[in-house]
Amino acid sequence: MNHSTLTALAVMMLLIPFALGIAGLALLWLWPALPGAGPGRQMGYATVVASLLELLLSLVLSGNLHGQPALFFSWDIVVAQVDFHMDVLSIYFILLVNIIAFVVAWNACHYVRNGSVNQGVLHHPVFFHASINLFHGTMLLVPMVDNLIGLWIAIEATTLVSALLVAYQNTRNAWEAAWKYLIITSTGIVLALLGTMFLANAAYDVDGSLLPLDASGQPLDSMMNWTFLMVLARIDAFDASANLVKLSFLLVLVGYGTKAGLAPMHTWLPDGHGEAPAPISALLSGVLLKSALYAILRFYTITNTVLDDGGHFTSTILLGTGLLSLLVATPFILKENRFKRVLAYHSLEHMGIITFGIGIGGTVALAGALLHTLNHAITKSLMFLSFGNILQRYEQHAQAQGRELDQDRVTGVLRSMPATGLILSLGGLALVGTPPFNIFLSEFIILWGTFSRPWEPVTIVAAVLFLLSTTLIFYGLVRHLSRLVLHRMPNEQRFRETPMELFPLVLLFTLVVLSGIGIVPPLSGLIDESVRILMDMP
Amino acid sequence: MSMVSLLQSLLIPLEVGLVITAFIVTTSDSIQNIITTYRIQSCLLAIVTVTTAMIRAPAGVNVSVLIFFIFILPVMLAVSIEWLLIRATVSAVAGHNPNVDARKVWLKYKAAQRTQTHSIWFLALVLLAFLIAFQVFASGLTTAGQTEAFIEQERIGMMVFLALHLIGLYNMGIKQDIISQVIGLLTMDQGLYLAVVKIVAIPVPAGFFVLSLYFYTLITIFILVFLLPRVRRVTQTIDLSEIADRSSLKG
Repeated sequence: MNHSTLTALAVMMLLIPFALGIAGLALLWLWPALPGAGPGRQMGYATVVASLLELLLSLVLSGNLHGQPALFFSWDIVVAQVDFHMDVLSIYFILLVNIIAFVVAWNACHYVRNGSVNQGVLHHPVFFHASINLFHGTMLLVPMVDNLIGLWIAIEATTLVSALLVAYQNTRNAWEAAWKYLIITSTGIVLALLGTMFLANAAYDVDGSLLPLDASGQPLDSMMNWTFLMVLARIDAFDASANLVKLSFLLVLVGYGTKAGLAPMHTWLPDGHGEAPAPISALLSGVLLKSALYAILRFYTITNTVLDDGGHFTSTILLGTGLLSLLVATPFILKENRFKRVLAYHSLEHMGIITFGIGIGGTVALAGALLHTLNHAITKSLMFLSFGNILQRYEQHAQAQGRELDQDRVTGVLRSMPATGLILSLGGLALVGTPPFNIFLSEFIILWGTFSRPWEPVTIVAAVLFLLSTTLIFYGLVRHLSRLVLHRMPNEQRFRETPMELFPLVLLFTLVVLSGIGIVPPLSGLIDESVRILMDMP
Repeated sequence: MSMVSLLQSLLIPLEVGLVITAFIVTTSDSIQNIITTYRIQSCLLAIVTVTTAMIRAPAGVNVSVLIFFIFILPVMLAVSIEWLLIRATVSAVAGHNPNVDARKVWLKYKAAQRTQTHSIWFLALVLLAFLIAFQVFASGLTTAGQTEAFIEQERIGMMVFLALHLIGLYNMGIKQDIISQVIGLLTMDQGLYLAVVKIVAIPVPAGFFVLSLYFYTLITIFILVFLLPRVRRVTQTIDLSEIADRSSLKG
């Protein structure tokens, strides 16, 4: 396919979720008394079809962009020109977003149909599906946009859209979690913007001659394109401002790290993931955290190229942050807690593992970290969606008996919902890195990368802490899972499981198994090329 | 004295004014005082923004539209903040004056503040901002053709925006009510405005940076108009420790 066809496909991919989301919200705005059931179901089906189309488009793009020059296109909006740049790293993250968005869209149809929430426009099924589309669109925007300020706006847009989805259940806890999520991530994200501004200052304040200007002497918006900043970094334009670039990276790591759920800025994570509806938890954990990670990765490459220290500065900080996240997550996974919160702490653990891998650096560990990004997204979505289905059935059962569900009473799942229970058990084992599943493979590659490094005391301590915390976490999750699936249910009950609700779980579980056996060639090609982009290798 | 040097001499007292208002916000024990001081700070910021843009604007480049876009945001917040916070504190009830009701609620939070501790922290944060501005930026501000006085003045500006960020963050962490916590967020917001003008005004802020300011303000407005009233409604309080005590989101 030629460049213009691929560009048209990319534009279409970006516009579909926004168009569908805006259409849904417009419908509700024009007709606030819209009945929930029928239009909600139709909106859900439309979302499934759209997300499947998105997935197919991203597969086509990944097949065609592999080994080819990146796609580049621009749009003029009111006060600025937005440049888009899609290289293989972008496509890798787009693929990840679209896989999870498809299964979530499918699960959301089932979730809303069975859910009892319908209290006003913000809790209307059409609003739920429309917001999922907008959330999907903003997450697609992140890896596509070239301008670093545009990237910041896209990430901030994901917060705005997802905060209302976190509060969808309209309970005190849900609003409290949404409040915490918005306040903490907004505070963090300011620092990311400040870091971006410092980078601009480092590039242009010393020598104004590098600033791209238009005919009237105004700076062009492309001054903040990461592709342009990379060009400046390669010609050593930042050399006089190395300290400023370091400060910029630190601020960006704290800022986007807050959104990526890295310790110690992770405090919104257990509440946000724990209180959101299951499909939203899957999107938050599976995709949103990775969108913020993508932003960090772009700054990582620029910073390494500017500092030209073999990645020593970024490596030290990322390694420390990764290990801290792992260590902070461990006691919370070991203690008694509600299962969705345990899963949220697992996100902290896995984001720690990914950051640890990036911190280790080198082709092997970086490839492992990128693979782990995808594997965690698939496995964690599987866990949230399957537990969401279980929780919903138990809630309905409790409501039928005229009582509130006590989540501690969610036990005996293997007997009450055998298929979902089995998938949840195996998914749990995959999540803690049991062979032959996918997480084991990517963790193994990261460890391989660690041991390939020269044996310095820091590396040894890091490797020991990594192994120790992952072992403890293994024990912690197995304990939670055994209570959930094996303990007897107080009133023995068997719930119906429909093929439609099992389909996304089976699909995800198949991916968990297949990607554990080996990395298929198209994927390994994408990862190899992404690693080269991250390391700025030709 | 040229126009530019006159504006430059005006700028430093105005920027010091921003820090002083941040000090009052940090140490005040009254929500009403905090809000009033924030409004003054917003007005000062609007003047600083315009003055800085006028100093930096190169001859022959028309920056009035961009200046207007940046100027209007703090002015809008200064005008509307009290009304927004009243709306967030009390629900509209027929026959009741929300202004009076909200002020009654705010008075309840006149708890004893550790003014001395806050003052020490405030000074420490300003010192940290000073160190960053004068150390980290030392190498990055040796632009050819600029006078030493101009560079000093730029560093003071950078110190002020860093201080506003740090103080805003501190206030978000220590304040015991949602309203003051939001004011902390808004103080960080003020720092961001100043940062756009000070760091990336090359020669004037590019459109994208202005867009980012608007987007961040959108989030702030979303919090003020949408989320804050709902959180207050479901928790029945604006007291953060009360919310935390009654919360089941633990562990």
